[in-house]
Parts: sequence; structure tokens; C-alpha cells
Amino acid sequence: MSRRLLSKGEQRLVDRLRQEAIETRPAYSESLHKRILAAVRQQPREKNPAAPRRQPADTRRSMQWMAAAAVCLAIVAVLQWQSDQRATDQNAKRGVAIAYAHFDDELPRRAVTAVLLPCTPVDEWSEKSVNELSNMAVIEAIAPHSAKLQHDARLAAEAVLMPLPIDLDMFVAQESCSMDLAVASER
Amino acid sequence: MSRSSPELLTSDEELACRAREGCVASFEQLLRRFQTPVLQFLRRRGLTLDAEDLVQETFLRAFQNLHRYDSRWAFSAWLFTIARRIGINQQRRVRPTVDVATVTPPPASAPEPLDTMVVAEQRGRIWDLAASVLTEEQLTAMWLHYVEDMPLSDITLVLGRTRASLKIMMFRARRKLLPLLGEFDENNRLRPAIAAGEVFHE
Repeated sequence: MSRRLLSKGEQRLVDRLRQEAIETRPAYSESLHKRILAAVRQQPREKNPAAPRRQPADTRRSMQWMAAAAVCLAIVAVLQWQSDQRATDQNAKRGVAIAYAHFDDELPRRAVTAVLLPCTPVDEWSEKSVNELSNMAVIEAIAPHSAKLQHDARLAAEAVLMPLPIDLDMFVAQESCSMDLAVASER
Repeated sequence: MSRSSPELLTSDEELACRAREGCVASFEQLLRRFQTPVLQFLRRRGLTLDAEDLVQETFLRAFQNLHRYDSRWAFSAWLFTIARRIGINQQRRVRPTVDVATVTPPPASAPEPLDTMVVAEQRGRIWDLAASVLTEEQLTAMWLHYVEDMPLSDITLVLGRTRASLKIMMFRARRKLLPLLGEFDENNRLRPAIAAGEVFHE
């Protein structure tokens, strides 16, 4: 407690403050008490704090309803998840589109080529060795909405695997050359 | 009233909860307990003339807002928070906003005997000196802690401060007040230079 840490002078100050407060404490006024109580009793009904209090029984009942609703929601969510899962399995068996990016060592700047494999069965993928897949980034096994997801997967693969143009001089020279060619062809 | 009365043994918080449920007798008991402390607290803030009206306003507002009272709070902290806000509002209302330069000084006349007596009575008091050197927050914190024995955790709620900042504030307040102790003589009277109206500032 902070009071134990007070110095002698501070303790004297505190004692003095307390003593003076006790000495100057006003007397209890019964008339003021009655006046305030009368004012309190005259408070309008709607401001009386007793009215809006909720009973414990109401609270318990509402909690039971909330629990029941939560259980129903959980059941619906599980059913929905199971049906989605079933649809995914069926699509996978039929063979899903696999997007991958192929890394070409010889052309590091333009190394990424997103290739969409033609409907490869999933079982075959599991049989491929790691070495075979080392140059290949499998982006996603696309389930029901394959068209949109394939597009997104290709974009993502390009974004992730596109190397930065480290050799800037060569990159700039190549870009300017291609621009010159474009201008010449326009002419 | 006998000391063994069950109402006296009931805590403030319990009484407040009962009052919240609509028990006016419990509120009356709270009023009985806190009338004097709140009155003195408001008077100490310089609101001497209308202190009783402000006490009434404090209790009325407390009664109206009892449904907002959280029993995790100490009732005294909640009540003094209301009293403090009412006091601050009142001080803002009564504070003169007249431009001093445009006011002509009143003619010199002899002060009323009653005024002289009140001033003389108040002159030797350390709380009056404290009120002149401390900020409103410091004064409130010192009063609640040392006079009302309110723990620091409750004062943080009243002032809306952290515990660390409250401790610093009180340390600074004590440091401001300590030199004032030396200004009282052995009969607890102010020395002449101070009584003449010197203002203490850090």
C-alpha cells in the first residue's frame, strides 16, 4: 500500500489533512435528508429503476431458446458440409483440372508458364515421385467451379513464380529491342 | 440507531442492488450514509452556497440511474463520480465570463462582519491552501483517498485515470502540499505572510 511508503513529512501532511477534514465535517441534516427523499419519491414512474429490470426466469428461458437455435444451426452446418464434401469427392474422381507452373531453367525471366493439365485423375498424382514434381507447382485441385478457379490459379502461379528481372541491362535492352521492332512493324 | 441494526451491516453495494430492484428504504439508507460525505466533498470544491442543492441533485441522479450501476463498482466510487461531475458542471455555470478589463472596481468599503469571520475561519486551513495550489483532479484524488479512505482502484474509476498516472498525480500533489506544512505555526495557525494571501505555486 502506498501509505506505508510515505515519508515522515508526508505522513504528517496526511494526518493533518485527515484531521482537518474530520474537524470540518458538517453535521448530518435530517431536513436535507427528508428533502432529498421527498424528491426521490416524486420521481416519475418511468424513471423508477424497478420497472425495467428483467426477471431471472426470462433470462433462463431466453438462454434455452438460444441454445436450441445454436444446436439447429450446427446441424444445418454439418449437413451442408457433408453435401459439399460429397460433391468434391465426385469431382475429384472424375478428374479435376490441375494448374501448375512449369519452371524453365534456361529462361529465368520468363520462366513461368501456367499449364492446365487436361483432366488428370487424382490417383495418378499420388503415384508421381517428388523428383518428377519438383519443377511443377501444383496450385490447386479445383473442385466444382473449375473455370474461375483455374483462371485464378494460373494468375496466382504467375504472380508467385515470376522471377524478378535481375539482369536489368539485358532486360531493358530486350524490351527496347522489342519496342523498336514494334515501331518498325507499325511503319 | 443501534449499531447492531442489520441495515448497518449491509454493504453499500448490496443496498444499491436492492435499491435498483425498487427498494426505496435501501436507497434511504444509502442517503443516510453518504449525505454528509457528499456534502463536504462538494463544499470543499468551493460550492459552499448551493452545496445542499447539489447534494440533492447528486442523489436524484443516482436514483434515476441506478439501473446503470454495476455492482462490481464500489457504490461510493460511483456516487462520488456523479457528485464530481455535478460539481464541475456547477463550477462552469457560476464561473464569471465577464471581461475583467471592462469591469470597474467596486468602491472600497468595509467588509461585512460575517464575511470577515468566514474568511478568518477558513484562513488557517490546509485544505483551502490545497485548493489553491492543486488541480481539480489532484484535489479530488487527495480528498477521496485520505479523507474518504477510498482505495486507489476506485479513485481510478472516479477520475478515469490509470493506476500509474493516479499515483504520479498524488505524488505530485503531496510534493506541492508538503511546503505548506511549514507555513503553519505550532498552534496550527498560518504564518502572517501566508495569511496575507500569498499564493503557492510549484
